[in-house]
Amino acid sequence: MREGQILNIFPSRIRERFCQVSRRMEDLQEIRLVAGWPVRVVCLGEEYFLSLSGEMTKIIGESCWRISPGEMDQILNHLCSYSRYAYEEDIRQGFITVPGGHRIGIAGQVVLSQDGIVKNMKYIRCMNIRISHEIQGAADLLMPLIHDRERLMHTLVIAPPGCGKTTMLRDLVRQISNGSRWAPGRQVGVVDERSEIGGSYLGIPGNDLGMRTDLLDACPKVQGMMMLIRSMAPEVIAVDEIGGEQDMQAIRSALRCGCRILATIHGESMEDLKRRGIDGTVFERFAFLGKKEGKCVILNVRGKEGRELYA
Amino acid sequence: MLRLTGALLLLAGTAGFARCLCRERKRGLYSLKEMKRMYQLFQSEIEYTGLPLPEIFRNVSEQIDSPFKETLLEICKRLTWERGENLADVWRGQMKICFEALPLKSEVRELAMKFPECAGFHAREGQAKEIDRFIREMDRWILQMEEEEKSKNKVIMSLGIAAGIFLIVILL
Repeated sequence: MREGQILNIFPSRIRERFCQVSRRMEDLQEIRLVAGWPVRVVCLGEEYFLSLSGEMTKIIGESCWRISPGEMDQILNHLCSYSRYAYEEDIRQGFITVPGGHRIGIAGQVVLSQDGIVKNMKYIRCMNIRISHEIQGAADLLMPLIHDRERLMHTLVIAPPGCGKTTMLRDLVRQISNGSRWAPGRQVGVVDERSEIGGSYLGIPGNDLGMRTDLLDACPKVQGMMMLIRSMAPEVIAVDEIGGEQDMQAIRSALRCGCRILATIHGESMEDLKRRGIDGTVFERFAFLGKKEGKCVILNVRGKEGRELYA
Repeated sequence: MLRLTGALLLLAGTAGFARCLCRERKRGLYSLKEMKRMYQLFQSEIEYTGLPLPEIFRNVSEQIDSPFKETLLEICKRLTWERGENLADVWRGQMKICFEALPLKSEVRELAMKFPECAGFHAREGQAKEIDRFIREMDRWILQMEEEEKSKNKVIMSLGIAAGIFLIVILL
């Protein structure tokens, strides 16, 4: 089924070339397409080139498939169901999320409005297909560290891009929602701004988020958190990739309402977070993720005073 | 008596044939009006709901008569994420089947086949405006056909009856 998700990203005319790639679904991290250049595939941190017959090779040669602008257009049209206008907002933001929660980053010529705001994008000639991995049990190690006698701690998952933040958050949500040996099931509200956590397509989540999870899909985090608090009374709120001061203000408001917070952020160290005004005043647990031998792992977990709980 | 019955039946036959021709023309006009309504519904769905085309086809199929209803449903079924088929191929193939049973001019058919070429606008307003072109063309053809219908229907009926009388005279 997951193999099918990868193949379905491409129109039927070029699908065959991705058969071998889709068979390595579990190791697959990215597929990078740039018009005029060989198609690149990243598996377990290793880069491969795709040949015209769909074979993965490490050598650039004549047999490499150099994707044409026309083929890029075909892929984009298929991704947008031949309705680019319906994906105007996604294209403006620079990514499209497809069934299974896989995110397709796009780059081309930006169209600006009169006041200098990005209005749209045309001549899309670069795509980065980031494969989402639903790994049930990914948060097993973290679960006891973020619970204190059945009390869930406000937790921030920190990692550079591509190190499994969303995968970790997704499994935390699932385990907290369903209940685990560390705590009974809780009502969880997820604000999924980029449709990556739930991988929703036509309103139906493609990933397992647990039985007590309410999913607010494609909603900006700041508004979404307050909407969930007002309407769904969550005990736990989960958000992906927080960043700006507005996000932090919304999180503080959620804290005042008595919600527990699970969030992720791009970063590498406590110092990095402190520079951005994030410290132990809001979050009680900081889980740092990273890569070891091409695999995403938990590097360390710290308490709110910075004390190391796991390394 | 037998001759009179025969003559009346012959007259009724030719008049009936003429009436059938007129009805066929009327069906053509109705199909044109349904096609125009289909484009108008596409336009309003794009403007107000912003849904992708396959979903619009499904919604519009619920508001439109045969054979466009079945055609749109079939297009929607085939344009799924899993099948990965091309809009232009699916649309043209299904419209060709749909037009087989309809008495429409070749220009109308050709215009309908061009619909996939107009899909691909980045903004909602632009996409909706592009459909205006199809609606305007349909309006023009409907007006033309309505005028033709008024005059030609009379001619067809008169010719049908005249042919019947002519045959009666010859056969008698």
